Amino acid sequence: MFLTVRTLMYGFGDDPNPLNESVAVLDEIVTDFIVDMCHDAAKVATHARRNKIKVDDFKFALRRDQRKLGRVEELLVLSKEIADARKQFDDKPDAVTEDAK
Amino acid sequence: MGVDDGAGDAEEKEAFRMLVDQFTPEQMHRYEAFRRGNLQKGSVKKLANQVLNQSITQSVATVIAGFTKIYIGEIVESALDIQEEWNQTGPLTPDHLREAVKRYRVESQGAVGSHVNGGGGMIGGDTGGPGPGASFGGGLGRMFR
Repeated sequence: MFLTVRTLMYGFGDDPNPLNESVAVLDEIVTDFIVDMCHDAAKVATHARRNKIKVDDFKFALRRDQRKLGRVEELLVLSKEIADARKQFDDKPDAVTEDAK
Repeated sequence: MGVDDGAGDAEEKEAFRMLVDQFTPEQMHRYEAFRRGNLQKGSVKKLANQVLNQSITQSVATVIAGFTKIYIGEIVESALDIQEEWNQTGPLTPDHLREAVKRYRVESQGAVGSHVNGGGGMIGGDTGGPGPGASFGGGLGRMFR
């Protein structure tokens, strides 16, 4: 996740050339965060006596974090829109071949 | 304010377009880095699979990558504030970042779901924050350990 972390540091306001040690530290921080969040989501699933982790588990774990929860909702809406658009594209007869008939 | 507002607000979009038009080249470059930067799904999956002992779905990986990017933003912005408080300049240092994480943990006690039982405040301020799989006893502290 190194290269992305470096890019995002710049993107969020750091120097165009972030310190290597800072990138390394942030990479660790991010890893810890993901691990913690996964543990939280796993607890939710366990409560529901389920083994398989679902997106809903993360949503519940984020229930008091409006900003991140909002982003998750947004991502879900967007990915549905993309999936629907793809489906439409696949179902529709090819416009080019239609005109050629 | 729901997702619908964000997607469809024409006025907001127009205002935003005007803003982007005014960007200096440096601002534009930084904005692009902000927009395009995303954790690699492969790395996220690997890590999550390891922690959860299963094979997570595409959606779950997307979601994790998504909210983690927000987290990175929060930490970096907080680190920048800290740097300013400490009257320092230049690239962020590990100390700025670690202090940012400290403050994040203090602020979000109870906000992120480690207290499944909805416990109250933690004992003491800075205990290093909720660790992985922490406090099933919630605000009761170490009662069940």
